[in-house]
Amino acid sequence: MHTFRIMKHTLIALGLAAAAAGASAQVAVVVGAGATPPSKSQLEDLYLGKNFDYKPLDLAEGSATREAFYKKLTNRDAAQVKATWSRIVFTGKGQPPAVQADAAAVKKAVAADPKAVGYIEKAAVDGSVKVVTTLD
Amino acid sequence: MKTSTRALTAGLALLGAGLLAPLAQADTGIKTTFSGFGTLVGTITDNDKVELISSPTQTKGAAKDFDLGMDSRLGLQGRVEFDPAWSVTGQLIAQRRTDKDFDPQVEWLFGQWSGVQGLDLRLGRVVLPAFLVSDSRFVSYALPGVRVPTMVYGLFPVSSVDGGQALYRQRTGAVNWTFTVSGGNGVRVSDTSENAHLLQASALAEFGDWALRYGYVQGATTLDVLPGMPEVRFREKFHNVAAQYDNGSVFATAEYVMRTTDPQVLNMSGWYVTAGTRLGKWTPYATVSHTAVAGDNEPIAYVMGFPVRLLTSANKAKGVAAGLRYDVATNVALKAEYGHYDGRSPFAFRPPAGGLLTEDHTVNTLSLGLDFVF
Repeated sequence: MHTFRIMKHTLIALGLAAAAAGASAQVAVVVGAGATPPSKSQLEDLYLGKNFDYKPLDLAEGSATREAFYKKLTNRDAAQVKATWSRIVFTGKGQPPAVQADAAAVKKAVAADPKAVGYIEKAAVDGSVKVVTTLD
Repeated sequence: MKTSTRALTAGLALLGAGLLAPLAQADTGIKTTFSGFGTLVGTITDNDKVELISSPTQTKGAAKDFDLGMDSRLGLQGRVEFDPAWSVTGQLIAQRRTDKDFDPQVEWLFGQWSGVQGLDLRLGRVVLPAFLVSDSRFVSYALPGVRVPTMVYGLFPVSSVDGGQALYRQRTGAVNWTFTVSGGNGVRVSDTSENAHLLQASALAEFGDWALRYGYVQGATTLDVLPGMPEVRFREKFHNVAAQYDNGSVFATAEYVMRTTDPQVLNMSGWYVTAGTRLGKWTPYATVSHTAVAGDNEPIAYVMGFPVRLLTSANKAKGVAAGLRYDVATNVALKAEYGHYDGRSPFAFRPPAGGLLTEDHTVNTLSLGLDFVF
């Protein structure tokens, strides 16, 4: 009985820790190792379709990293971002960021194109990319 | 009939482009995208003496009977990118225009060259951006409310031209500039009006959460709206000043428009302010709008000594709308809007039998809408 209570408390503590980690998951914005990075204000403009000087990359809709990235960078949720890009797409002004399968695909894409910008969970950063900024 | 056939052909071409997309991508590197938007809105009012319209070209609006046609529409868009520099974009929209039908019409069909960073050159049928949200006024999902303020946007109903357009974008410091110049003949919005030799220019500055815009359009207009009266021809100039703020949590948009005509027969100005806040999936918003005749308009004819004017000083109106948007999913939204409109604006009201408005009206409306994009 005693053991059960300890286990229960441990599980609750672990759950809380995981929730806390999820809420504050750090997102790193990355470009190729040799690329000239955009400024942070330009970054927000790139992901809201106000500036097209770089090629922004996205993770798939529903990805927790994507949700965290947009909330922290632009203060907008998925539906607001969708509404913003529908306005831009249906005005012929531009196309939304190209969707990449995962962090590895983002790193590969930015490494291949000096104009590409992407975001990945901070833990996935390695020497193939340069961190522009970390959002937390 | 001819228009329908042409629209059908364009529709089939768009559909064909969509179906061929996987093949094209696999073989040649040609990228094809196919997307669409739509809205289904039902509106009911408390007044049968006048109909509420969302465009002055509509020959049927909403009154005491539940109306599903005033704001409902379906749009399909196809884009074929041959390489990073060359692309073709087409957009078809089915909505109520001059009659009760929902015949699809080609809203845009243009070839684009983007060979220089920041510059897009377009040839064909292109959007005529007379207003701040001209280019997305039909994409209801991208708007907070059910519709753009009718009595203000009705002042310039032409939404596309057959001609050319240049877009230039430049970032200076933290300011993103967009300059647009367009020219051509207006795509006819009704059998009784023609807008020729249109020339448009606008400058948009976006910085942080702010956007400021000035737009100008000039053209030669012919109206044949009153049975038994001669055609009215005039040159018109249309100015638009707009400001927008959106920080993700709260937003506000204000727009002022003014039209002057020579001879002075249809001078009018209008403005609106929309503001709202986003509370998770809920977005409450409110809009105040106003239109009034600017100066004295001249008679277009005399009948038995009495002057007939397209607009008199009595043609003014004001409106208040308040609504709630609920984002069901990332591409579907539900909206409910209450509106109160008061006055004699020919861009918000029409007499059920057509013709000129001869008295002021007060209309309360309720609209329920479903918007989606795909």
